[in-house]
Amino acid sequence: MTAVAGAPDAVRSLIKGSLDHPALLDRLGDEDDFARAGIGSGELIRIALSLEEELGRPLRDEELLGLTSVRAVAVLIGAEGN
Amino acid sequence: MTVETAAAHALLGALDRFRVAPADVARYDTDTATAARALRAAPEQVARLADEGLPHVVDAERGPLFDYDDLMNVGMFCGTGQTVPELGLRFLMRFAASSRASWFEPRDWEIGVHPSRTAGGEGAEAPAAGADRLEVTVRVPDLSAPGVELLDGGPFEEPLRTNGYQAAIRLTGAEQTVRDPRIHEAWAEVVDGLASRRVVYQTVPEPLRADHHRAWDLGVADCVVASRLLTDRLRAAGLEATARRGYLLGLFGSDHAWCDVVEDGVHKSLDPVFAFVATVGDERGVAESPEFAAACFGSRFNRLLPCRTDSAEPLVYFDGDPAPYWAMVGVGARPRRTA
Repeated sequence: MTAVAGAPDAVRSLIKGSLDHPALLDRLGDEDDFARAGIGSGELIRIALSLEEELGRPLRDEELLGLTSVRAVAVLIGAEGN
Repeated sequence: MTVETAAAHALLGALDRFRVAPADVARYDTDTATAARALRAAPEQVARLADEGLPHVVDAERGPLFDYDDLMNVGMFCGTGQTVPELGLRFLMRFAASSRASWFEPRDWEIGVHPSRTAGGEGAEAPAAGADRLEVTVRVPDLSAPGVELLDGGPFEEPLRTNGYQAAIRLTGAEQTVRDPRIHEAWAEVVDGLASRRVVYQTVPEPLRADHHRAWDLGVADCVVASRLLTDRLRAAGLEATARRGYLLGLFGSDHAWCDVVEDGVHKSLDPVFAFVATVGDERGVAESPEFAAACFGSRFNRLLPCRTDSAEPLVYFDGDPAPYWAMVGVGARPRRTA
């Protein structure tokens, strides 16, 4: 797994744009679980779509299952960029 | 927040591709803002839907109010590939494109069932009045079902639990086939009904699910309707069968129903809706897979968590009544983290 020092603003911006209530993200640490923080299924769907658009390819099943935190999104984007 | 809007004509085009909720079961309580978010559309586009005939009532304070199931069907049938219902199905079914072995191997899951009490989600700035006073009850996992093992959480002694739960569960699938011609016959009737488009696979309101024969006769079915009908047909043929309901686990947990039939003393899963979706493929934004469709006839997947029901009853209740569709946004699933 690629190490990520801290989720860059671009990653948080991508996630924020997918939320019904963007203020939720301000209360969310990089490691906090999306579902436990109150991010619903519709928002998770939009995060996954934004990520697919960012990466320019469909996410594999295992990658979808790993979309559980800001850090996980950052790792996925970071891994692709390396 | 930037909202990419679905093509206006695409949303309108959905209106003649599904059947709206009959007036006696419809619940017109979803406002334009919530509808626009669900459809990734502009409020003006939602207004056009009302103008073009999507049933609604007009509330003096909240404006037009729609049936949430109707909105889900607009999203599912608009064909943009961009609405929440389309994307949800596409993402949840992506596992069907993975290797065959991955459908059945033991898999550990963390599941959180904490239904939303507000249509806008738990993060809504203005929760619905009285939401905090709702008594929320949820169905617990069926630990007696084949392939279900509790790793953490519980206890789950009663079928219903107040508020919600967190649990870690191991699901183990099983690759199985079906021999009995009576099962083949009942299966063919249901799957062919969907495949021929005589019955439209769409979201069905809970009160109509409860009257599954009426739904089928009206030409509409979802997983609950199809599973209950299949169960009835199998029982009528003298077989032991049960309509099951639980969660399809993936990016999140989604309400799903299927059928369990006993053949030669072995419980076998029959999933007519999965089989239909995997057969039509692109039409519903998922990969076409005859291999997966065939596995839906007898095999048990490690993605389906059965809950304690007698006949695929609802999974979530508000004050004793089936909760609205949107309550399910609060069901989370993820592979269990290991040290």
